[in-house]
Amino acid sequence: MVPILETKNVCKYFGGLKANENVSFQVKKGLIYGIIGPNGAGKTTLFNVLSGSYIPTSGDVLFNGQSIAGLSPVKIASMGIARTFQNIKLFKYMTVLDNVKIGFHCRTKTNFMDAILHTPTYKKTEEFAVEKGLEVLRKVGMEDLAYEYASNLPYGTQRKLEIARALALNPSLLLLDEPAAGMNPSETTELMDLIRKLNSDDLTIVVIEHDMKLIMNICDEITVISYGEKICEGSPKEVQTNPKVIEAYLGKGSIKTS
Amino acid sequence: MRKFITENKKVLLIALMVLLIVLPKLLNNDYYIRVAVSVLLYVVLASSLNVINGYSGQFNIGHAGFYCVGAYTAGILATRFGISFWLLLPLSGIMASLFSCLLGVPTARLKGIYLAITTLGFSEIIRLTILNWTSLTRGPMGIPGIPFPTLFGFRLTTNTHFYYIILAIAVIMLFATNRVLNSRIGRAWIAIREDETAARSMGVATFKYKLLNLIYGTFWAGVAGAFYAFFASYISADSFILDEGFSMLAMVLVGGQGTLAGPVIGATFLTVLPEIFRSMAQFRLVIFGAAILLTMYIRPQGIVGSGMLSKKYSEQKKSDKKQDKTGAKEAV
Repeated sequence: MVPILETKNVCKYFGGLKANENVSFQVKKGLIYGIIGPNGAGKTTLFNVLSGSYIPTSGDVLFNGQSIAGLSPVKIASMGIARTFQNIKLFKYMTVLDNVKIGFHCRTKTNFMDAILHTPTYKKTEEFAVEKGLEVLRKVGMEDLAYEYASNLPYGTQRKLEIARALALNPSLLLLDEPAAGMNPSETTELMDLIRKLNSDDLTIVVIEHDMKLIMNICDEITVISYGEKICEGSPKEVQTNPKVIEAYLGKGSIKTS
Repeated sequence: MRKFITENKKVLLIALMVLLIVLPKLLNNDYYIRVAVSVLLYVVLASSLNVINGYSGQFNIGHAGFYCVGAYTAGILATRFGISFWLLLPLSGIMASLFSCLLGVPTARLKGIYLAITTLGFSEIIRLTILNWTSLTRGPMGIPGIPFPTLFGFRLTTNTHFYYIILAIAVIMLFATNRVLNSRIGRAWIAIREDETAARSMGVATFKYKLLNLIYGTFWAGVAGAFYAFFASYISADSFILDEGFSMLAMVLVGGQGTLAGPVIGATFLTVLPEIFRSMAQFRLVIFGAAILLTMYIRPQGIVGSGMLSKKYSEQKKSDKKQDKTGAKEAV
């Protein structure tokens, strides 16, 4: 079976800085795939390459066997890869529902004439957007907040809204960039349940996270990145005991591994 | 009061419409009606600028340039080829839109103050070109004798006639804009204003929508220009100096950008105010400057600005103090 996402020797350099160096991994369909690594290891850079924000210096990214490296973020989003951001990037002064409606942008077609004259096309797309938007919000349990402004939401809920907004794209692959950052333990548990639930709806999820409890609990496979390079790959168990990983996180010789 | 307005929106709108229709009878004075015409003209101009500045977050301060393109398109075509006023209204709008593409395509990556300076320069380039391209525009002599428009063989000559024309334009403009803003297109514009990166990753083709936004906004500036050409029956480059652009910007800021009613109130306020203080005409720009400063200080979101925007600023202040970190939010 073709993996849903595959990177082949992806390199991303910023001048002399090698943010990603020969990163290759495969994500099989239906998995929850974790990417971890110390701060500044190049995890978010990798996400930016996957989502089209950056063009890789060399190497290739395959989505369902098709090369997507160098495509625009808009194209990639419309192909079915959605992402969230490490530092929340919501449309703050729009309502929760409008935030989600943006996700339907590339699946609907309304032009100026439709909008001004309120043609059947307009009515149909608006109904579609509201109905589907509420459905997505129901999925993450935010339906009652639909008409609240995004900026008024508490932090953890804003993170959830980012996920909801990404879901509106109806993706087959979801990239979560530190979804639990800044969350309290109960919010994190809730988030874990949500990620599992989304995964059971046949959504493949790649998640970057520093919260090891979350990573070790929900991920089927994990890749560890340090200084831009992949140092290890495997199940949570394997990764936890890998000496290279321990070295990357805790330093050489600082701890005996036995 | 906001609650009262939203609850009785329809009734209030109808009442306002009736008032506007009978207004010339009520005023019954040519000078007052002329002021009313110029109020409505600036309503169209400020509202069209607001579509750009307030909704897509592109900082355009050279709106006068597009107004100028519209006026000269109408002036030249009407005097040389005798094309009808009614045809020239949309034609001038389209011409202004074409010029906005000339500006919008190369500046797509510019933001904030950099874009603002470019639009400023663009507006001046247009004015200077018109001033010096004598064979086409008669340069500093301007274009006189633009004929009165006709409707079914009836010549529209009085200020009252022009009042109804511009009222119709303003109503159509606001109606259309309101609907566009509440559609997928308007949502895309607001998303771009809020966060361009996120908008792109949600599948909004930001370049296309920023350009569409410019095209839409400047279209109405062009229409307003064509109206002005026929209304004044004489146009010269002097009518489209940078001050014109700044006035429109002032109206948007004072009224409240990013709201539909804001520029309407702002345009009314800043057109009527200088008329009242006509005896101090030389202080017109001082009044504008003072008005902007006062709004920035007392009510940064503008007269009708939404509660959301005011929150944005108080929040920003707080976070500035707290973290000593200035966000990349554009200062308005």
